[in-house]
Amino acid sequence: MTHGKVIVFNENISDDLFITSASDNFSIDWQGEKSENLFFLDSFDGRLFRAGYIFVHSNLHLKLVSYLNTIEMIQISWRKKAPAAADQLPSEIRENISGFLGVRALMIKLSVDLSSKDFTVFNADQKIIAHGRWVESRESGKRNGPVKTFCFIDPLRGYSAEVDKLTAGWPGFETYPVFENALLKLYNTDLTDYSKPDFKFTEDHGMAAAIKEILQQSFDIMRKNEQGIISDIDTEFLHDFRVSGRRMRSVFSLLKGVLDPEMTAKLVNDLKTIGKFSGPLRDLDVYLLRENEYKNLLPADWDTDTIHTLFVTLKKRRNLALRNMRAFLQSGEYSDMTARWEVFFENYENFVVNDPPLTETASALILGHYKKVVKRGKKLTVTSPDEKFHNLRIVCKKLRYLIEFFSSLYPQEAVNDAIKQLKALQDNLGDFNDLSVQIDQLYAYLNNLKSSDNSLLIREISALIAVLNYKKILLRQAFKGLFKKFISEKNENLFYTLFGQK
Amino acid sequence: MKIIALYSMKGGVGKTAAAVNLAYLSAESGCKTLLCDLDPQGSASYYFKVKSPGKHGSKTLIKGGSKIDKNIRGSDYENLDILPADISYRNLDLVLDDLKKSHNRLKKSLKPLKDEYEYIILDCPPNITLFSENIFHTADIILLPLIPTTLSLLTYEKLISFFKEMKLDRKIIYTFVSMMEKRKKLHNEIVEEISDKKNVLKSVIPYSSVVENMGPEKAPVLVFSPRSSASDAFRELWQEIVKI
Repeated sequence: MTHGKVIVFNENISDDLFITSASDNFSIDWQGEKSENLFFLDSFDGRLFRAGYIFVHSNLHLKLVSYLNTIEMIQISWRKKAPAAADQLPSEIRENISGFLGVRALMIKLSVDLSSKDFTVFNADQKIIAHGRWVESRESGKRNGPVKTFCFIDPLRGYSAEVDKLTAGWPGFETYPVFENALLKLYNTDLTDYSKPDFKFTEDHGMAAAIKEILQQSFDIMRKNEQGIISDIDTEFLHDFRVSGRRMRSVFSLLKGVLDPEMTAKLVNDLKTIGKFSGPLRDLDVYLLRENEYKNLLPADWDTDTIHTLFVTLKKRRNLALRNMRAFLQSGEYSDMTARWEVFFENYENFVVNDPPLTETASALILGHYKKVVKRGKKLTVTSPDEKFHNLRIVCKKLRYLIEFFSSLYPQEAVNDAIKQLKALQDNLGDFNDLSVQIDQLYAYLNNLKSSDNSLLIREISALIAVLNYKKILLRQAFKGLFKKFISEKNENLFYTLFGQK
Repeated sequence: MKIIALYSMKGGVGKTAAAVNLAYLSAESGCKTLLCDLDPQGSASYYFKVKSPGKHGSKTLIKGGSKIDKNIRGSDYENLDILPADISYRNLDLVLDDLKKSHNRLKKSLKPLKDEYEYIILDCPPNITLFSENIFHTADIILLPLIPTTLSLLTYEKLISFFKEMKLDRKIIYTFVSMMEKRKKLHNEIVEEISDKKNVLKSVIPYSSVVENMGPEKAPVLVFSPRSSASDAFRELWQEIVKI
């Protein structure tokens, strides 16, 4: 069914509705009942949906609905398991969406069980005027979840007005042009939504309550990503897991003196252990994603198979790192840690030793870190050692964390402006650091090669080091301009107006 | 897009039965098809249970484009739409008479539909008028059902003479034997006589009570009696037509 409209009822309605509304002017012929499981697939952050596509897998088919300008759909019979990445898609669908999906995995964002009956509507002349489907749905796995009812009606050409007469007497409903959009609305599902933290504080909050909220949200996100890391369908799960862990560590390092030091030490230690197991895997993930980038940096007529051997080695290392990470997540050590955190949250008030006022403390911290960034940045020149750039990056990161933790306390537009300026600086410093790490890794790899066997590979890695080093030089040169913008009077005023007095 | 007109100046020769069943076969083969019921009696519309929309009539037919579009109705069968007849079609000649370039009006009217449909089948009224001339200018193929009787042969010859006189392309006229009764000697003799002639299709539609049942069944023969000899004959005829 491609045309017509989807009628979503505001309350649960039985199919008796037809019988009562049909009267003498219409009759309904019901066909057999079918059941189907529908899985909405998208990347973790809904890249397909944002590009105007809804991608659905059922027991019988794959269906790609393009809903932005004109409604079009491609439906392909599919008896295999759901595709998990672009290269597993049939070509008709792949050519439409692989550009948006990139390396990201397809995952189930919503799963709905449908029980449907097709029907035909006849008018008083026994002429068919519409085909339709009556659907009862429930979110998969929620046996006691509410049943939501809707109806798809596709009038035959020239019979819309007659069908409108039939539906005019129906109780409250909304109509949608696309069945899949209606389902998303019905189940309140935002495909682009993923586990981003959302901290909402008011001046009434104390710092202790704010810290709990930040830690609790981050902890929940970390735990949500565990299964994704174990099943290893997308590197994003580990990334998200680690970002949450780092955020929690930064809470302890930036917001000192609020919580019991003994408990704090235990929790920080847990986070360090988590970092120790997840770090090597993340480094290798980042590295492996660079294969094409490296191939493109080398002269076009060089043999790309040679550099590929580097990635074969890295892939093996990654398998090992993944095994270690999986084992860690499934270990008693990890479950002891999570149990400790649960106890900590349940008895949080017992661990609070001091509760300073939120806005005042937050503003002082943010402004203090802003001043640190300004002071350290001013000392940097094109020839400063890498380490100084690295240190500035860390201070900027702390400032960013602080602003993001407490942004809800300040006027949103101005905070966004402040973040924008800071982000430009952070991007430069982040890229600089990435390049330094890459060069170190390539050096380490180079030093382990035996010169007699690998002359081509040595040539290619050496060339890459030179190119990456040149990129670092360009970033050093660009830093000056970006920093000048960051310390401009306008930006300075913005920070002081938002977070304190000059 | 191809426009096929089922035409005869004589009534009761099986035009509508052929138009309805051929349109159904075209749609069944996956081609988007429009059956235009141009006969004010509206028999083809009746067989598909489609009534004329109140505002449709000879004027909207001649205006064409979006006016026609609004009045097209989906049939009960996939790919098949109907432009139902209206009793006001009886006055089509009067409407046409008042217009300039009145020979090409129907052709112009149907032109906007050419992208949407692969076949348009015209079920024409039994007469030879200004509107018939419009049909001759519009159709790519004129299909003339021929009952194998002397009088029917005469109508065929008259049509050929008319085309000659009007300097129309006679090559678009095809004929096929309709309502053939094998037990009738005359029918067999005439079929024999015309079988070698140019533009006479080989398929023969038998006289059959099952075709008459289209009335009570309100459906093409192919739907309610798909294994009948009449259904087989219509299938053969459609196969010949698509090769023209």
